[in-house]
Amino acid sequence: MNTRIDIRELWSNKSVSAPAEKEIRAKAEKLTKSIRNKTLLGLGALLITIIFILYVWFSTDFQMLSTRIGITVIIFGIGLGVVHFIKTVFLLIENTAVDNSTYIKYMMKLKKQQDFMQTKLMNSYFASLSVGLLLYMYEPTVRMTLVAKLITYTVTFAWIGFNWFYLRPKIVKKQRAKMNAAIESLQGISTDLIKT
Amino acid sequence: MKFNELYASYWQKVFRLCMGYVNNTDWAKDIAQDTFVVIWRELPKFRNEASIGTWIYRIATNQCLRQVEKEKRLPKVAVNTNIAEPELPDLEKRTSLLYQYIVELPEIERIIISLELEDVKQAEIASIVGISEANVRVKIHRIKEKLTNKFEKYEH
Repeated sequence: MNTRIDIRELWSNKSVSAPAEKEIRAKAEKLTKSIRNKTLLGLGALLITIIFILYVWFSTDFQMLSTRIGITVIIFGIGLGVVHFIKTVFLLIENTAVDNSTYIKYMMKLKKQQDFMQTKLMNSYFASLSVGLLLYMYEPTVRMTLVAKLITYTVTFAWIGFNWFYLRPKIVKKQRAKMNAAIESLQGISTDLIKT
Repeated sequence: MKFNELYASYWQKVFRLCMGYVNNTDWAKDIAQDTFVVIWRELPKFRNEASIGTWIYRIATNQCLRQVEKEKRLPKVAVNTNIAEPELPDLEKRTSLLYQYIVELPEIERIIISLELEDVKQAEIASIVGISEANVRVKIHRIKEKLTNKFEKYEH
């Protein structure tokens, strides 16, 4: 059979009715709006965090410096989370009209950057929450009875341990697996590109 | 260049390109839609550095490549391979086979052959994919050979 002609004919035999143009416009407008809203939400959360830090510093009457530092470190951790959120939103806006080879390199770079950001940022987030909590707790527990102290610290350490040894590795592992699968596929495609 | 004109003249081409990449009508429609969403957003920034066709195909093929993020969504090979085949007219049957054979190729080959079958010039394919024209020529030749072999095997 004459495959060249056949294949072309078969190829163009496939078609599907196009969705109404207004559907595309609506989707595009929704996307623009959603990016803008997420950015505003992130910035709003960051602003509230900063105002809260200032408020805590100037308004509360704690005796020890450790308490203030503790609160600040906790809020710093939350701030890190917010920064991470804003960064992820901006990663979505990208230059998509480059050639495939450049696009694959760009995606790989982005994935590695995302991986680094997610794991490192996640560690800093959990570390600051734990350290902040311990510093903060020192003052309220100073005047407690021994039993109360023991209970409070056991519960706190159990909570920190749960976060650090169970929750954090679980989140990181899940993200890593997803990321590695994508990077592996991209590397495969990239190798195919070079092959002649 | 007006969006509605581009949409009218490129929808089927972009859809077929996506079909060649995933061989699943709903999925291909989704990717084609996403492609036109990007085109709608980016059109005001289009500066004629490339021809409009090249520009559109670059966006479409990159949208296809982005599917690595969602690859688990559906099995790679079309679902209808082993079902007791309904009596399709010959042309339709062969069309399904062609798309199935294409989706079994590696990603870049899927893109290259789809563009070739869409009558895109080899120089333009080179500029969309980002490899040399000579390389495109060699690859097209090999892919066509692969497809011919598959069809021959099927028929004997």
